[in-house]
Amino acid sequence: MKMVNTSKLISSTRAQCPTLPLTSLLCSLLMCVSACDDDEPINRDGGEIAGEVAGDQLAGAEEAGTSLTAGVGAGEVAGAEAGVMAGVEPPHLSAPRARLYLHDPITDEGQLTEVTLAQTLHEDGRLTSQAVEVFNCLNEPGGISGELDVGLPNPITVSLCREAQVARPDADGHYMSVEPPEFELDPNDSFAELMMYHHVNEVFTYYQNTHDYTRYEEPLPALVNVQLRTDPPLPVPGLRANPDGFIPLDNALFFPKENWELFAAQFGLPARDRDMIVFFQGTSADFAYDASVIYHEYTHAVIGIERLQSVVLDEWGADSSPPSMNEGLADYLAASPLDQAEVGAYGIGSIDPRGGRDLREPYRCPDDTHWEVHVHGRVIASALWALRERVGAEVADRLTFNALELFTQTTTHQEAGELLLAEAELEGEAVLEAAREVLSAWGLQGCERIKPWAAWRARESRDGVPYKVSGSQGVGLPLLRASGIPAYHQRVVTLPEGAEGVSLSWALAAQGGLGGGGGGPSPLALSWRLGEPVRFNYAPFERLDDGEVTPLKLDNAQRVTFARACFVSPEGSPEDELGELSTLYTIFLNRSQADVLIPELSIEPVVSLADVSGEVVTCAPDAPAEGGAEGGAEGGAEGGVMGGERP
Amino acid sequence: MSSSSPHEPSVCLWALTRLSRLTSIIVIGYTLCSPPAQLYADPLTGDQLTRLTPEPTPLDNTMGSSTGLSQELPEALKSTQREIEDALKRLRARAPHVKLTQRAASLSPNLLLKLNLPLEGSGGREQASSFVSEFKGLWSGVEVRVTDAQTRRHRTVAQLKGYIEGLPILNQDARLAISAEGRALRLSSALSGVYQTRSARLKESEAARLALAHLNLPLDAPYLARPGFVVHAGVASAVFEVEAGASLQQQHPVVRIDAVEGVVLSVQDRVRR
Repeated sequence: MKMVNTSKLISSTRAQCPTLPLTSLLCSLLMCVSACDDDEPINRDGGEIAGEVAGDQLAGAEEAGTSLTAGVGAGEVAGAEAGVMAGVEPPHLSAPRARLYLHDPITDEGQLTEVTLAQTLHEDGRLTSQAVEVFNCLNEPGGISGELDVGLPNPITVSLCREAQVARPDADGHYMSVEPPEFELDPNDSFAELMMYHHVNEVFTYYQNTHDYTRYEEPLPALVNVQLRTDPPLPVPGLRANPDGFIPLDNALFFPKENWELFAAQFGLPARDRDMIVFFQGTSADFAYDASVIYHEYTHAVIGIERLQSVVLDEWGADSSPPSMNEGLADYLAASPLDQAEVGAYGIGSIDPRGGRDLREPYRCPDDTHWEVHVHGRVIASALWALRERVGAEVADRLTFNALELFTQTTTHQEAGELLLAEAELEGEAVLEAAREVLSAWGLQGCERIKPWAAWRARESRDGVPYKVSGSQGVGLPLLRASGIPAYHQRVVTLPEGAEGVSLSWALAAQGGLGGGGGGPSPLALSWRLGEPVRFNYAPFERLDDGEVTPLKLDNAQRVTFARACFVSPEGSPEDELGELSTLYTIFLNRSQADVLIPELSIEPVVSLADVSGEVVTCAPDAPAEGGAEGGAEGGAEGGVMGGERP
Repeated sequence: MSSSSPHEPSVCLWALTRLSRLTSIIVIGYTLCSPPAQLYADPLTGDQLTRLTPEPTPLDNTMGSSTGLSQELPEALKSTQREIEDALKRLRARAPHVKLTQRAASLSPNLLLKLNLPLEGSGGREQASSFVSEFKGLWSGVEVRVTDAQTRRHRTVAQLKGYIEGLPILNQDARLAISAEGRALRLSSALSGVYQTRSARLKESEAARLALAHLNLPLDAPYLARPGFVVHAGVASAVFEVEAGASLQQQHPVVRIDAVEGVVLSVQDRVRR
């Protein structure tokens, strides 16, 4: 294990990177936490200090949860809570007991259950096992800090809470006295440590026993109750620091060790050789109380950073199923071992009125195809849950893990479905048939990412997340800047009876990007094709469509009207009222570097084209190409794009 | 348990991300939750009339402008496809029940199922190497190496990575399952044959400067850069992957610079929302 002297780290940070950004700093802070040596005496093992202090100052504190006198640091609190008596070393039990939530406070209806913990590696009972090494992060001085120059007159000091292994066993060697704190948002409670310890050991054992898989040979560092503070406080709307100045954050993370390398190299910090998981103390919940969140983050570690990473392009457009399956599998492999369909009932549910992610709720391709990975991840997660209900947890989990083992950086839903079927075949005809039915019904087989163009508003939608069309930097493939990055699904438009056309409109919003310019969102182009989907081929590139238009962007919105002629099959005549009508397939294209969000879509029938404002695609063969040079050049050449009235 | 009102931002990363947008306090990793709609309800910053000006080249990877190879591309593509087809014929001859699927953007198969193909070699890694050696034509233009092999219960899964001119392909890999009896079971692959290689024209220092400038960082800021290739649709483009310290707008950016054209190819951070 690498050694870090905390005081050296602070001075190093200050001396060498006076302009170290907050991000880097926080990363550095978090990643340093686990890089310290267990035997390092200073500030490293708060638990040891706590034990000593508890022995000296709190002798006789036999009762769990004893209130402490002012001036005694939080690091000492847990020692007292643990009931360590002066001069008496608790026995190092092989099967210590504790009372914990088996799932979370909501699912368990507030009831604790007595469980047997994995034996700790250290005789003093600090929470380190073969699977995990749990640290509290105490809101008190002594945490790693650094200075940030953000252009203000004075630099900002950013401090992390002070990490320490605080929890210790009671005098009898058990941990029964460590209970949920009276104040649920206690930023220093040891109950969070104990929850983390037990459930990481549980999920570790699940992978080891069920799948013969061990992700880490050394204990995975896990940090709970994480908060940070800035001095002076930063006026950030929506985030309010506690009275002690520390800022609560609603999140939980898996940190790949690779993310540390740059910072270590830059700032002379010691390398570290382990990933870690980090749980923040939130604004209305302690995420460590939610076992499903712990399993979810641990499963991210199992999936690793070389699987399910990137968006791909296929014949339908862009496909975010690879990174979304990273999330969906983390959900399923949290839910199944816990036999709990709703992931994050407490953690996510504490800040989202919709609650956690309930895998019993089917999400399917194409209806629920989405760019956002947690939303889109629910397709495979709910499919696997449905399969689990058909074939049982043991078989479903085995299929899932065996298939996952073969997933690459860019395995798609379709490929995942085929790999799952290949595994199902080994289980017999009944399982194979069940898998076929479920995977087809959920759209992991044979899904065409096309859905009707319908009025839609993100704020009122089930998931509350806008659509997005990635920019070239979001996809990261060369040679596609000019052709544009296609959207994640196509939308099909039908001409309403009696209408002379259909107006389509959409709102635009920019997503905060990484670097580059800024400003408002770029306008999107819309490609269309009559009667069959727009098709993309890539070697060499070609897009099979009938035309393309980039409507004027006004007030962060675009609008285009397709005249009736655009819906008439080539066999018919545009002037022929009886001509056979067909559907129009459309797909957005983004030619900018940055992602463009679509928070709103509208569709309206047009009774008379004369009343239409904005751009009109006439689909008349010889229509003049008006309405702006680019729009005319792009869409007008084939489709006949006219500029309508300009507001 | 407390909960937000329906009118409040409703998904858990909101607070963290909101903070990060102003202060860059965000951390790296796989996060639990998705962002809320409110996060994206961007202020009306672009209310001026704007029109997109498309770049002139409509079909990108027929573009010869940067390579001068436009006349040679079709034949190069055909040649690569022939080599892949030959390898597939050999494979089918040895594994007659093989089931094959291929993506639109790949020249090579992406899934090979029902292989049941006996392999030479004493261990999983060696057996995987023999498969790669025998069917290397599947990835014409790419050197495929076995980089890892993990054995669990009844099978070994070997990880394959591609290299061009000795440099790694950064956006593709493959995995091969091998039974305990030494038979190839199935291949899951994002690796594609390559018919055109666009070699670097930029130096690492130039790429780093581009990345730093894009991130609004001082040009003398420290960075880590590594060269490699990104492959799409049979075209390999040299890139530099540059990691640099974050600035006010960034989290933990990894910038890929197109080392041929000298432009920012992608900027990604490791946070998943």
